[in-house]
Amino acid sequence: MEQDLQNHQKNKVYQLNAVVKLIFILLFIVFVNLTPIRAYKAFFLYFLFLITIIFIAQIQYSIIIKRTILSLPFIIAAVPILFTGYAPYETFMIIPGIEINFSIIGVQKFISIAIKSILSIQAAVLLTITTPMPELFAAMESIKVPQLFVSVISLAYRYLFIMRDEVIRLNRARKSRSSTLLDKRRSGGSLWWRAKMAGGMLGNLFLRSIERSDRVYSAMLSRGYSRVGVQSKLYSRSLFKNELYILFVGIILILIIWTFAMLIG
Amino acid sequence: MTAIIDIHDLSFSYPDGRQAIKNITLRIQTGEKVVLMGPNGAGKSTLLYHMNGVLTGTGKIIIKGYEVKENLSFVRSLVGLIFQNPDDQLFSTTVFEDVAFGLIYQGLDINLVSERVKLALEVVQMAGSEDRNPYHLSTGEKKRIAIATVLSMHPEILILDEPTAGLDPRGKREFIELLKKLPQTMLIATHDLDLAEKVSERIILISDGHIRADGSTKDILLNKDLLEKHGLY
Amino acid sequence: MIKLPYFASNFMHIPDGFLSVFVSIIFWVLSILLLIKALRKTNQLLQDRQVPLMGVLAAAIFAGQMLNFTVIGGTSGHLLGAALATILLGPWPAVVVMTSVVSMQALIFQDGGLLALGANIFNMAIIGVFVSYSVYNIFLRLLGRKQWGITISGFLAAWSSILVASLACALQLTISGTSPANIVIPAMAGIHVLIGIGEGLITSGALIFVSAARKDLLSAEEERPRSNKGVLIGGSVLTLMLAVLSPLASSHPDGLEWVAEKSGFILLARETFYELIPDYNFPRINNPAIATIAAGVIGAVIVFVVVFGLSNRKKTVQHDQILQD
Repeated sequence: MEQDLQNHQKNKVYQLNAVVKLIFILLFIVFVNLTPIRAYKAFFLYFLFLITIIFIAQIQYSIIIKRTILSLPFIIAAVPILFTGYAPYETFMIIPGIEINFSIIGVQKFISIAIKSILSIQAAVLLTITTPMPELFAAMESIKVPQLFVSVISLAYRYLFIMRDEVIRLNRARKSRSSTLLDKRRSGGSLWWRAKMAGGMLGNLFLRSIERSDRVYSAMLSRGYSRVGVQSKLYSRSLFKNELYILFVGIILILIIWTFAMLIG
Repeated sequence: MTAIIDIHDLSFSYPDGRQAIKNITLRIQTGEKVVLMGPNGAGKSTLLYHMNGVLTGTGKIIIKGYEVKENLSFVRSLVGLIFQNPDDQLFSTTVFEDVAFGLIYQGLDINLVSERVKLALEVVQMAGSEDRNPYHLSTGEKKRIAIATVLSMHPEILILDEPTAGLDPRGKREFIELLKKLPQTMLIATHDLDLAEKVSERIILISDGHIRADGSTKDILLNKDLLEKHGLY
Repeated sequence: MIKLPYFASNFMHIPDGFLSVFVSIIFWVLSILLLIKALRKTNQLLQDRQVPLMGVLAAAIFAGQMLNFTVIGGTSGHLLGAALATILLGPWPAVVVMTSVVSMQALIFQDGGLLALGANIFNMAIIGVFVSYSVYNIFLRLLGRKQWGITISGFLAAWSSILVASLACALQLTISGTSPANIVIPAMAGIHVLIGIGEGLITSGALIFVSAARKDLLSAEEERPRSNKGVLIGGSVLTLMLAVLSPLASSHPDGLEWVAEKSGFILLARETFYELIPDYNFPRINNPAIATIAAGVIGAVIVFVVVFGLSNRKKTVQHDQILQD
């Protein structure tokens, strides 16, 4: 994905002010979720809209699909409404002798939840792919997310990969000492022992992180750190007129699709 | 004499596509102490992590007749891997528990475990430190305990990644003495010329994932041009 | 890019599409109010050190969720981290840290939706922390502050934080009409009673490590128990409320109706639904029992947050006056 970012640095969608993208995507998700069930034509229009932007941004759709699939297992939570929704019911025969009642409304709702979920995830993926994180954080600050929180989360993002490497190293060290002898006796220790060791690794990570944060703090002080977000100054810029125009058109289009949905729904 | 470590045509690329080692073929005899030298990012650590299957690339590694990928869990009892940062290896509340980790995992009897822990601590000159908290040890002490955590498993091969990094001069001297004393076959990754000279008879020089030189310690350390070319001098 | 380490936790990270917009917005508002309070509290506590400490620890918890251990067969236990963060940092810093973790998961990995993020923050960062805090402190008082007291209290805090958070998640799904109460509540509870054991064990393990190496971190909180009384009570109320409401909702929904009717929430709630989002298909509104519970939960939570906000306000006003004098 980093490669994608490089390939598309010059792309218009990537260059667009993060504030525009953030507001647009949030509204897109809100209105998709406000769309009544069975408004399949509207869902299709939302999808067309999204796919158009994805096309303009020249993103491989397969990347977006991959990320969408990761979130799909949650759909299990909605499976019961297939059967427990309101009457009328439709009876299907699975194999001779075994019949299942489906609630028609339940099925419609299930489909609508799945569609809304997929549209929302893809919109969110689009935002993440086309917006460098620091810009996204700066945009959060411009839409009045508390600055202190934005500073915390930007710093967390900076250290995420370092922390991941620490965890990988801890895991390697544990793995390389987890061996069995040839006589195939029961290995692995007790459940509590295994948990205690994993907990020890976690405690180790935690303590080292607290110490690391002291060093980060000293480094920040030595560079004349003040809490005024350095982040936002570096990465935010005011909206150009044409960007405001793009945002305006985007919102209007979402509203048109939604109104259409309310009319047919 | 058969080789205790036999690596044939080993290559490995990280998930991000970066190729760390390429077509490495290498044999190490029982009892040899070999130093693996190379600049930062040469692929030293990557190669070491293959010795007990923490990483698995393409190609073949045979340890004492056992193909690593097919006998992962057993090979790990033959090969003790000591990581650069001892903090990564110590995650228990007492030195005893850390040194006992591998043994308890193997399912050994607790009396045998205590006995082996005691012996391992004696070897690394940390006898009697069973109840100390590893978190509060000095770097030098942590390194010793890290070695004890694998010695207790009675490995036949020790793999060490930058063992002298972060040690003060005396700590380093004592540590080198300890390495010389241990009878195991050793493969040590380092760019510490001093350590190489004192511990090993053979140096393998790698850079960009390839073996660039393989010879006696003396010959390679005298070849300043070669060392300089690979950023080691 | 980091690969998502596991998917079991996904049952706690609600994606978009599963919560109604109304429920999502309610929980956004609640989470924002509490986050602001948490930021203010941590700021008083840590001042300049707040950003580096919270930031690095949020990254550590995020990465620490990749650590796991084999439970049985192919299943593995891992960590959400709310209880550990609460016990080591105190409740308000833990809210900030966990909110950062949950937000990063949504923003970077789409683990949990953006519209649903408010609810996810509420479940994992606020319920998770508050419940951990009260359970830990109550059991610590019962069992004493010896090693085993800390270990067991830590286990119970972590276990119940997972369970209660999952009940909240189930109720949100029910109120949104995504899943029937009598199925999703027992299912979520059942799964998380087990997942919670993993969380509990690994949290205890971490506490044992920390108390051996840095005992001071575990006693730091004891010095000012009074200032967090609100969290203690809030956590207990949330725990009891969800523990009582969930079985009621899944088996005898009618039992709750009169409570809600008496307090007038049900009418208020219904009307607001219709006014706020005209024509929006609020799914289970025809089912009075569920609507009642929905209204009850939302009402109680709103009251709880408002009371909280007010109590905080009073204190800051006093604080300002002292400064002016």
